[in-house]
Amino acid sequence: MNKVTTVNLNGRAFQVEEQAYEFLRAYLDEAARLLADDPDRREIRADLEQAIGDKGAHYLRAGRNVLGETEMTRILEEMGPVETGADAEPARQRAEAKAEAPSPRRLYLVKEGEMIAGVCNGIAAYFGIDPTVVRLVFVILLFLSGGLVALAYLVLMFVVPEARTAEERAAARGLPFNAQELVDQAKRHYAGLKDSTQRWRDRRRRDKERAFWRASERHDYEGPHTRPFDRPQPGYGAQVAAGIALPLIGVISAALTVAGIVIAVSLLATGEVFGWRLPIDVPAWVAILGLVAVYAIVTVPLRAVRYASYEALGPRRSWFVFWDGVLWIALVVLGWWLVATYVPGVSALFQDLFHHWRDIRFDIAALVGVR
Amino acid sequence: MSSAVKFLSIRKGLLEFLLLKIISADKVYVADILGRLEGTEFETQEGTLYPLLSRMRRENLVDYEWQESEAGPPRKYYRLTASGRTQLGELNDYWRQINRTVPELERKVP
Repeated sequence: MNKVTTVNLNGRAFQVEEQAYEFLRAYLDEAARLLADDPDRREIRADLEQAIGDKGAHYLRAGRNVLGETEMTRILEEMGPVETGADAEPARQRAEAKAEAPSPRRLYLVKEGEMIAGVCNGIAAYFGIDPTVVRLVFVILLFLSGGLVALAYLVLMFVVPEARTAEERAAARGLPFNAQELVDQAKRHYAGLKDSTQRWRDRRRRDKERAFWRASERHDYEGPHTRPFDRPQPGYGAQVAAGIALPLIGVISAALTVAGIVIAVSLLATGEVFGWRLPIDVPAWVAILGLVAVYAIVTVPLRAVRYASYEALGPRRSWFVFWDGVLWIALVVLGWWLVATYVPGVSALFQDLFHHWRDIRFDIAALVGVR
Repeated sequence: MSSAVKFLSIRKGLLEFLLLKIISADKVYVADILGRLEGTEFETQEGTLYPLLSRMRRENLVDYEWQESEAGPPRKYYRLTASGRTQLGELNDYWRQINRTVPELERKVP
């Protein structure tokens, strides 16, 4: 007994088994990808769904309610891979190049059947070995290294991009990529899944992904169970670079912020910074403004790199942005504590600041024009 | 490699020409086209036909109308357009020309 999903194929409802649904989705996703540049893509996809529905209805006539794995495989093999015509060069060249050239093998986080973040899974896929073996080795290393390996795991979690599209998933395993391979892969994946918890996790993740894509869809989206491919997929290198760049940017900007605060406090409290004294006729508030201006200018390139990194992240973005903010706050607090404890004189500065607070208040009042 | 595989790109290249021929004979549904080619060397599939027909329609070689059918939803009923007929004529001429050239190449040059 298997779970059943209802799909809408160009207006007709069909009950399909779980595995059959996965094959169908793989087929339609691939069709959407191949037809991305075709001006008639909506119509063609509707036609394809219609044809699949016709064939499905044919199988259902023999007194069955549900399309199973065997029927769906036969239907999709009858349909054949979507061939973009001789004139549609870019799409066809892409598909042919993929089918002929050996697919690049890249390290990705593989989220199907993941335990924590898909790191061990991704490593296993890259080397083509059993993920359980990788996890075992990881645990052994964890004990041997006294926990240092966990740090490496964290780094990998951030830096290695997740294999999201079918194309990336193929590259994660170094497999040549075409529609048939996808169907076979789905078959192998389901045969290998023994753990029902993993299956549940996969389904939950799929539902979450589907909800996310629906929410972020643009007007081009059509068909309930196909994914939109409007946004160009950020490249592997770009994603890795973004994963490395963002924490670094966080550290640098937090350090700058802490330094800025220290300088500001120093100026306010004593009118001098590390021995450099303000010229007599320059009031403290001008110096502060100047400091803010310098900070703003210096952080412009930082901010540019940060936003470019956000762009390169793709759908993982909101997760990353949130944690990036948290990381920055944590770094500022940490930096402040380090400076206050280890740099001589900083806490003294703060004492000075409190003592001079009255003077500073008078300065500000005089500035504003209040007596 | 079998001859069928060696001729694969030729068969793919000829498909558009053959579709024009089939549609010129009579108005057809997509299922009819597939049935016509079934069992021949040019047997093909929906995945190939739909994008190809869609492009031919963009180039105004064929056109379709929706036909109500007894069992189920309306289907596309394809026919040849005037420029489709012209194109078919040109392709037929070219085809005859090729069929003269090809046997010639096997003959020994005097």
